[in-house]
Amino acid sequence: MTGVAVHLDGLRRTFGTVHALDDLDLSIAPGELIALLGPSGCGKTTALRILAGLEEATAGRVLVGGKDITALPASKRDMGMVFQAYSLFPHLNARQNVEFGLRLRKRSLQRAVEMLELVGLSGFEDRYPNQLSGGQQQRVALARALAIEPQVLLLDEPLSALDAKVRVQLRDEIRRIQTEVGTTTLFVTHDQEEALAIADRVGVMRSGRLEQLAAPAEVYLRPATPFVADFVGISNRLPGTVDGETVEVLGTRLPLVGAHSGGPVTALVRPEAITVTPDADSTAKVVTSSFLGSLSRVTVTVGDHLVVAQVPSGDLPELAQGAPVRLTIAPLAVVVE
Amino acid sequence: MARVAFRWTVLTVMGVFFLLPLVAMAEFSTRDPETWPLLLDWPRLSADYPALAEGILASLAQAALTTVLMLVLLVPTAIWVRLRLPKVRPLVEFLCLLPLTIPAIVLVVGLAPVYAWVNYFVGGSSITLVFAYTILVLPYAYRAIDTGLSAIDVKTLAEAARSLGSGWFTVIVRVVLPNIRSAVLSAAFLTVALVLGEFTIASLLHRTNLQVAIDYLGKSSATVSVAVSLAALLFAFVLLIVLSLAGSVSAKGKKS
Repeated sequence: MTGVAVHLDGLRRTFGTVHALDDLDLSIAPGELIALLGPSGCGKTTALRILAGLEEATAGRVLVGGKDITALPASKRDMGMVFQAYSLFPHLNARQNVEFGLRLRKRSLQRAVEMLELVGLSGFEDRYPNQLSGGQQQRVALARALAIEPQVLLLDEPLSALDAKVRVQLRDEIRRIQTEVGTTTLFVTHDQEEALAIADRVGVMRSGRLEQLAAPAEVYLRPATPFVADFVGISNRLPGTVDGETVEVLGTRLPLVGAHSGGPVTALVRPEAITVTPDADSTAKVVTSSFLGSLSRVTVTVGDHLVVAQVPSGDLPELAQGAPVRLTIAPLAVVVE
Repeated sequence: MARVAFRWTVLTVMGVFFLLPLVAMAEFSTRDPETWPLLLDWPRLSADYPALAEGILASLAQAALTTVLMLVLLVPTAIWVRLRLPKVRPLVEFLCLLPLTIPAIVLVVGLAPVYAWVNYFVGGSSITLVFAYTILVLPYAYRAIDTGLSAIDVKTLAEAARSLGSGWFTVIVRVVLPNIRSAVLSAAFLTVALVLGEFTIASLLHRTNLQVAIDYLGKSSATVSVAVSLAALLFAFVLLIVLSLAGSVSAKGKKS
């Protein structure tokens, strides 16, 4: 199966005076998986629901495979969808749930068994939703969505109700299956790690608009705006001075993302770009040090500023509160505001 | 100890209060050994008591048709309101509960002119009471169906079905209805029980049904009339037991 191109053209959705979507343009290439990432209320789910036909746009067009489907009802759009809430039909077992769309299309029911096998649920065909775990239910929902061979697969925070371990497992599996079947996919999430791990491109949304749409590494390493930087986990806002194409932060010259006219700025520095080493002569002091497993998070005061560093636990000497340390910043490009 | 004694006293008083009339009815209606066998012998019953037979048939037909009309009107409305018009829900709930607050006699005063038109267009058959009964059962039936709908995530299930290619009819018939089956059964049983016990409207609108027939019969053959009343009561009890059994079976089925 080959995917189709999807194009959201100037989508607008208003609820009273609130703009849930504000002229959103988004193109998804055939077979591509795009993750829309953003905080609650940024419009990511609204965009997905308009693409699914479950909500109407106030203005704009939805094009799938070059065809304008804006006015088409959800039932005629040929899209598979997995919801955040468990959406299996409680009165049908796993196999019957997957067969539901196939029966409506009068297609071979054999595919239901194949799809359950694809999502790793062979042997669970006769179980009812209440006899399946949350992760298994979402797998069946995925099998059900894919069984109808949809033109587009829509995933609306399908992992958010699951526990951490299952979430990572199923995330990887969704990516494997999506790559295998090649369906164009839109994945909506508020979890940056999930978006970066699964997508070909990540779209970071804010107030109904796309702030940045780029490959995960690009979004992570070169966030286009302070909002994106903040959302993908950069928590240090440190004073700096721009000089040409670099910015000086805590005595280190770092490359700049984008252009800036110069002068004093606030630089957004990633915690994992900072390393901490004991140094009796330093004025920087440890405030807290928390062990997070493979990583440790150290908070240090430098002058009036708090700096958070995230370092591999194995590299970190024992640091008592108030211990003097030296901070080194890796020369990665930073965003300034 | 005192608490246990109090509990038993209350139970005994309540038991006597409810059971004594039934026992009295049973005792009275069995004085003539011919009475109960007669109730099971339909040809003889309809030959000896044609008005009663007519009342029984009328009530059964009214119960069946009211149930069908109630389900056809109420189930899609309740589902539609939940899915598409959630803001209208309090209004629909209020309208559906309204018949509960209006005394039957007042309802009849309002219904009389309407039934003048019903007589004109459809005729004076007792089956026309179905329209009034459908309104009368709304409070009970709406509550039952609404409770069933609250127990499932109707919106997500409907959206999942639509994304798989279902039109609205398929969503209601193949997805929502099977999941509110016990609620629909409750609504149906309550409707049947209510229609079988209805007297005021039928009597005041000069139509016949079981209760009207029993009332007439009471004047000529008290034993048979009491036996039929008891049989109708037992039938309603059986319905309610079936209802609670259906509820517990479905609750068991949903447990993991």
